[in-house]
Amino acid sequence: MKRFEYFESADVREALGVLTEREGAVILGGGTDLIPRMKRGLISPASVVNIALIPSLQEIRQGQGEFRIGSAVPLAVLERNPLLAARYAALHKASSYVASPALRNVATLGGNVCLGTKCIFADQVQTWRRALEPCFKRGGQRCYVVPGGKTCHASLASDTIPALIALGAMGTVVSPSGERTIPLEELYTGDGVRPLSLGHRELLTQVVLPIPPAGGRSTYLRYSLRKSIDFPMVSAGFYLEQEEGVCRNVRVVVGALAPMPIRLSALEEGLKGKTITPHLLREWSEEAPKEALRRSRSGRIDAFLRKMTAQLVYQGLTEVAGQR
Amino acid sequence: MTVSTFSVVGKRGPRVDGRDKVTGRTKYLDDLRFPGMLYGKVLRSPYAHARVDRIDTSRAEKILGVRAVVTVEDTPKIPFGSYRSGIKDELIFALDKVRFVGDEVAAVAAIDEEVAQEALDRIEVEYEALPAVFSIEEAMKPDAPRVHEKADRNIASHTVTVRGDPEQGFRDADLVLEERFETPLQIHGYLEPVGCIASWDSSGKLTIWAPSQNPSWSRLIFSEALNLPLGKLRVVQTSIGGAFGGKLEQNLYLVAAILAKKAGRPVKMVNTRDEEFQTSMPRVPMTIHLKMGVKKDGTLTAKEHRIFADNGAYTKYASAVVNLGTYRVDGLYRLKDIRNENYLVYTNKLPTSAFRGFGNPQITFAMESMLDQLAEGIGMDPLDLRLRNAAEPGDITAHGFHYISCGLKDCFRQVAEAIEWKEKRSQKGFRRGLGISATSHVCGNRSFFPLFDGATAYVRIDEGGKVRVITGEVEVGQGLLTAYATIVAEELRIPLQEITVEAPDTDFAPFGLGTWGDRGTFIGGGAVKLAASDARKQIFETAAEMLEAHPSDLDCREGRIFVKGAPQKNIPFSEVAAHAVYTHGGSPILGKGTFIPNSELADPTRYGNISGAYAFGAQAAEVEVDEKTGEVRLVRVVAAHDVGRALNRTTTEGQIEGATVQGMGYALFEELEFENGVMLNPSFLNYRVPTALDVPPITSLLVETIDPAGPFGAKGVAEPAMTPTAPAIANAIYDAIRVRIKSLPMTPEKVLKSLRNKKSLRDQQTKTL
Repeated sequence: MKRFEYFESADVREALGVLTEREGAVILGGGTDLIPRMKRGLISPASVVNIALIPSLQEIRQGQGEFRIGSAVPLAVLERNPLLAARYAALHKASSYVASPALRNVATLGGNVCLGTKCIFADQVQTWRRALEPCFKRGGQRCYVVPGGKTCHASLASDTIPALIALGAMGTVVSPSGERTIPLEELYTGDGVRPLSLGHRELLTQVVLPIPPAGGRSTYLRYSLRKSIDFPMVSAGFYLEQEEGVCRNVRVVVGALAPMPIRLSALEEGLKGKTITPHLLREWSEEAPKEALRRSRSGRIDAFLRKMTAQLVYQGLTEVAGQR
Repeated sequence: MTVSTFSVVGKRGPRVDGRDKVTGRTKYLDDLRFPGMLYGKVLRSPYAHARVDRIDTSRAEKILGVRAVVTVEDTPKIPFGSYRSGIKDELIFALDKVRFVGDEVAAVAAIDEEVAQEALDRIEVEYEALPAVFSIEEAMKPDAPRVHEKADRNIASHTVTVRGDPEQGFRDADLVLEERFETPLQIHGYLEPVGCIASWDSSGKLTIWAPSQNPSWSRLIFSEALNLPLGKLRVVQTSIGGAFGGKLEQNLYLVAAILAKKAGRPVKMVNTRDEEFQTSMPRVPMTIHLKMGVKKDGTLTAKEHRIFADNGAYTKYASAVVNLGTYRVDGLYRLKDIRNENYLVYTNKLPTSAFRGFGNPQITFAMESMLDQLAEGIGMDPLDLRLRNAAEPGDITAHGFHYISCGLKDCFRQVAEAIEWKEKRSQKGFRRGLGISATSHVCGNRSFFPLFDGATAYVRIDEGGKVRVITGEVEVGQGLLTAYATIVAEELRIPLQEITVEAPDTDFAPFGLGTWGDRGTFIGGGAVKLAASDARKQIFETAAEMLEAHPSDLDCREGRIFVKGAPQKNIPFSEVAAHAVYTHGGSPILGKGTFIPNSELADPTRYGNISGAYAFGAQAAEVEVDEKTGEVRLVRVVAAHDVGRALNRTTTEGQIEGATVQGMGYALFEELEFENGVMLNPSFLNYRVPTALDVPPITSLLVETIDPAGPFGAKGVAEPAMTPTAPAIANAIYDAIRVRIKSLPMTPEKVLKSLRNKKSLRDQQTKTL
């Protein structure tokens, strides 16, 4: 690992100060992703700013019609929060799937939301990176995931993102020039090389969740090869409100298939106002991989993953619709 | 001797080194530091195959803090290989060309790792890329690029062995099947990366501290590669954080020696995890063409295999794996007519070598899968087919192995009972399946070191009554220290805590062949038992003088030696030890034991009784397969192993459980993947070893056949316990969904693909009807 300057910030203003003064400074939360990437030489920042000790970023607060979670809250804290389990099942489940208990004790929500994209071709140590012609993610002009691909197809595989977007989450982003609260979806560019829309001097300080009406149910499902310490190959967050069997509102967000989370808007529109039946859910689930493929703007989703996606969406919808 | 007379043998209890390990007190190689010590790093090839035209180290040498930069020019350039493999195709550092991504090109020693890394970046190497071969099929084409000039069609070795009359055997069969099976590159996955410290003294003597599985034997190879007399070389084994066959001779130790010599200072080198994946020597992948014949009554008539094994770029132990490892399976069942043909083929990938099971997991996966196919073909229960053919005590196998103790049939019966074979096979749940499989293994192998087979141990008792066991054998995490302490505690009738088992240091320990081939308990333990018995004789003689009794009337319990029948006449063990030392001019009591098993050197066709005992085992797996996702959920595994006798039940079960998990990884998860010779998953994140959440309940059953030659009847269990797991799972998957997966690992993708193929085959058949 290359040497770097290390800062511990006491408050957000101090952290922003370092980000402003030090070109290319990176933010350290729990460090469970950043430090291994630095060790492998995937990034070599000159400065690192630790924000995990900032008290205001560690708060979980219930406000007027909303629920605010500081970006430095460890995932293990979310996992153990009974209110979260009851009201935001999707986020609760997603948090509990990340890595392993030891990692969740330090890994933060903000870190997971800003995880960025992963790729087994691009995320290699230097010697092995030199062995292959560089790909888009490493400044080159090709993609190994999709041979002949015109753009980076790294995967945004963090668990909490699809869950949060399904729950209608907003993110608060602060910078020296002020604060903005945006739908979390807007944080993601769809570009595998630069997957986050955050500027260099910007910091995600909190995630804001609307309090769902009674009858609003959510869940999160993932498919991975291993039961812990594994990123999903495909995952999905679900939220559904119904009234007397009729779908009033629904959000389905697929993760890990593309450099961004994929909101299945056509599926959502197709379900809204309809009486929920297993047949309807099955029909739209079969459409899910096609829509995901369309929205991901890539040809990367192979037959196996398409099958898994349809299966996962069906299971998730069935669960939030209370059909089993 | 009946069980009740033992004080510690056969009991449960923690490992003797357990407390220090779990509390972080055990010092591993990376915890060691010497004054003036430098840190070494290796420059590795980014090319799978390239000519090295020029290496310029001058810029690296100028960096402040760099003490030595070395290339092949600093080495004796003597080709070396694994001991007696007959193939010496490797040098310390590439000479004219590099042969895999990770091949050593140069190395640097500097005051710290950062400086060493910086210096590596300044070494200029001009490569000229060459066409490379990555698969066995490509490599064997007549016009394929050659990894080594001498090897035509990249064949490193080719052997054929015939026993009996296989052609007649196949003619006698009512059913003959032929299939192709494939096994992947599996990594050992030990937690402690390979590392070492090398240091030269002023007399020109080199000491290497390393987590070596075979210090005495490594020393022979290092002596050859470094052109150094044996007497000028010392290998000290440091505590090992897992090995599984991966910590036999390592090139890194030689690189450190070259660096330390040039720098004139001790040099430490430790692999990064990436280097561990890229350059450690994983399990030999094999393409196995297997043909077997069976009669209607279930009698197996003949077996033929053609194996194409991937050697990687250099020959480590892969030649032994394919030639000495894959024929052991032929003695599992009563086969007489056999033809085995093995090709070992070079490719531009990392060298493959020894790994728990040593060829057995590969060939057993193929054979045990086929047994189920044969059973189905003749309408017989797979368990019945196995019981009909299973080896028995007294058998002499087609390859000349003499089975003295053999609990194979008991293993089958116990496993079948525990998993409720008959009941569940006839009325299984939806998409659930049961599978069974077995294994046989050696306990030491005469073929590897033709000069001798055996082991020697010293049991030393000092004036404080402290007992030390000194051997050339190695604790790799398997529980050897506990086994040896148990043997000594039992012989001397003293508490376990009074005994320390030392790690070998070639300056002090007897020549030991080390830990491989399931020889630690059976052979090393045999020597320890004899040494302890010798020490007991000596201390009882002294005690007899002190108690005015006859030595044969004495016994020891709870640290006191007493007269049998008159226990009030007793004296503390430590007092006797002190008396013995002070009345013998300061000499500690030194018990010596040498155990030489009744094995023989095989003839050139590899016929012969190569081991003093043989271990056996059977496992059954229950799975649930999701036909929509292809996911295989391992519900439970029952593993019965003929261990001779369990010296410590807890550690023996631990061995079986650990091995089963490794076998499960082999079956369902683990495979190194490549793109143009570059490994894609060199991390525990993307190379998936099962985690605690993936592992099912494992029931370990100990079948104790009390081998007459083993210490208290004990045999080995470390290797055989991983072999039957994958085929048991494969057979269970077939039982669940009627789809046979012939390639490991059996991933959801492969399961779905096989289901699709089966469906399209069925559709076609329906159409033609």
